[in-house]
Amino acid sequence: MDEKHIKQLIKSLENFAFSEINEMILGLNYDYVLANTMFIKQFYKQLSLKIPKILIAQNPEDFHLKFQELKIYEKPIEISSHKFWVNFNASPIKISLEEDKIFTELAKAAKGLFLSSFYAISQMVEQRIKMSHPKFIASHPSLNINYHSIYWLKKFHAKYLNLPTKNLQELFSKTNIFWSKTFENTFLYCPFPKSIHFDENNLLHAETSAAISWEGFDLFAWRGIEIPKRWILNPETINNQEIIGQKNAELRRIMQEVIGSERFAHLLGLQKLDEDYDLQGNLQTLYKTAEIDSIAKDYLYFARVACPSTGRIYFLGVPPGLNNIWDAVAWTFGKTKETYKPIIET
Amino acid sequence: MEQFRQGDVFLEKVSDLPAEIKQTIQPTNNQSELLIKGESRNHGHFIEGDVETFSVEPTENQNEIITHYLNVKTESLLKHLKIDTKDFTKEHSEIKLKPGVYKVVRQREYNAYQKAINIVKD
Repeated sequence: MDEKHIKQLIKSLENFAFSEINEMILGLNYDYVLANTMFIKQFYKQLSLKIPKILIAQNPEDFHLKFQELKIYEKPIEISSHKFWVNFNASPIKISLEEDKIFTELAKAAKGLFLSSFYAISQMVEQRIKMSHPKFIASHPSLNINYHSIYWLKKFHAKYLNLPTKNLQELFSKTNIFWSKTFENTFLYCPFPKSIHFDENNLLHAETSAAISWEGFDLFAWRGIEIPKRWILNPETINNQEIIGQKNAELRRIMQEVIGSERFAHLLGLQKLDEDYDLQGNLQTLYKTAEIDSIAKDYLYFARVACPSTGRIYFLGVPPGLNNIWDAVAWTFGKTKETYKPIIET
Repeated sequence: MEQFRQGDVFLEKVSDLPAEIKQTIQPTNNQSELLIKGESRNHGHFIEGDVETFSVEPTENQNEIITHYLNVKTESLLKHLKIDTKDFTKEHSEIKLKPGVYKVVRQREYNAYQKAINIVKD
C-alpha cells in the first residue's frame, strides 16, 4: 500500500467519522438504551462474565462521580483497546500481516485525527470536568471502551478493508456509548451528547448555543476553542476590562468576533489616530483610547490589523505615543516603518 | 536584507550566525521541522528542507523577539501546517527561502497593564 493510498484512506476515515457522528445525532427516534443493553450483555457473555448491572450517567460529570464511587468496591476489567479490537476480529479470520500493518498505519493516523477533531471533544470535556474534579480521568484506555477508540475505527475497518462484520461489532455499532468503564459486576457508561456543532473545518463551533451538550452539562466553543458560556448567551456583558485583561490574542479576537469589531472599538472608547491600507489592501488602523485607563494609568493604544492570508482582524496592543500605523505594525516585529519591508507576506 | 512574514512569524535574512550560537548551540534536526507552535490551535509554522535550525531562548521585553536562527543550505520552504496531520491549514501560503542565514522573529504586543511586551499568542 503506497503513501497516496494510505492518505486517501485517512481522508475517507475522517469523513466517515464525521458522517457517523451526524448520523448518530440525527437518529433521535432510535432506542439507544435498548441497543446499548444488548451490546453490553453480549460483550460480557463473550468475556464469560455474568450480565452486569448497567449504570447510565447523564453527562460526563455524572460519569465521573459514579465512577469515583464504583472504583472503591468494584473490580475493573482490563481491556487494552488494541488487543480487544484484534480479538474481535482475529477469530475465526486471521488478520494477515499486511492488514495488520495497514491497521497500524491507520491507527496512527487516526490518533492524529482525533487530536485535531473528534478526540478534541473528549479532551475539552475532560479539561472542563478537571476544573471541579482534579482527579478526573475518563479516557484511560485499558479500562475504557469508547466511541472513538473502538467503534468507528472498527466500522471503518469492516467497511474499507472488507473484513466480515461480527455479531458483537454489529451490536456495538448500534450503540451510542461515548465513554464507558467496565467492571466485573457493573458497566458504567455515558451516552453520546444530545447535540454537537462543528464549523466548516470540523472544529467545535456554535455561535448561538452550546457547541456540545448533554443533559445538565454543556460546553461552549468557538472554532475549536472553549469559551465562557456567557460570551454566547449574554455577549452584552463583555466589557472593556474583560477585553483588556485577556492576554491571549486569539481569545481576544474571539471576543471581538462575538461582539463585532465596531462594538469592540466602541467599548474600548477608541479614537482613530492613523490609517492606511496594508500590502493586501486591508485597512489597518492605529487607535488610542479616549480616556486614560484607570488601571494602566495611561492611554491604551491598539493597532487594528488584518491577517495577510485569512483577513481576520486582530487588535494588538502597542506602546503609547505612536502616531503612525506603519510604525505600529513594524513595532510588533521590533522594526520601524523605515526598516519593516517584508517582500512576501502570507 | 530580505524580510518575509507568515502570519505572526517574521523572517529576516542576516549576514551570518551570531558568534555565540556557532559556539554553544547544537543545530536541531532538519526535514519538516516544527518551528513555532500555535498557542490555541493545532497549527504550526514548519521549516522543510536542508536547514540547520538553532533555537534561541526568547526573552520578552527585548526589541526583537528572536526564537531561532536558520541556516538554509538549499532552497527550503516555510509552511503553515496542522501539527498532527501535517496538512496545509489553508491559512498562510508557503514561503520559499533561498540559501542563507535567517533570524526568526515572533510578533509581539504591548500589555499596558503589565507594562510589558508579550509574544502574540496565536
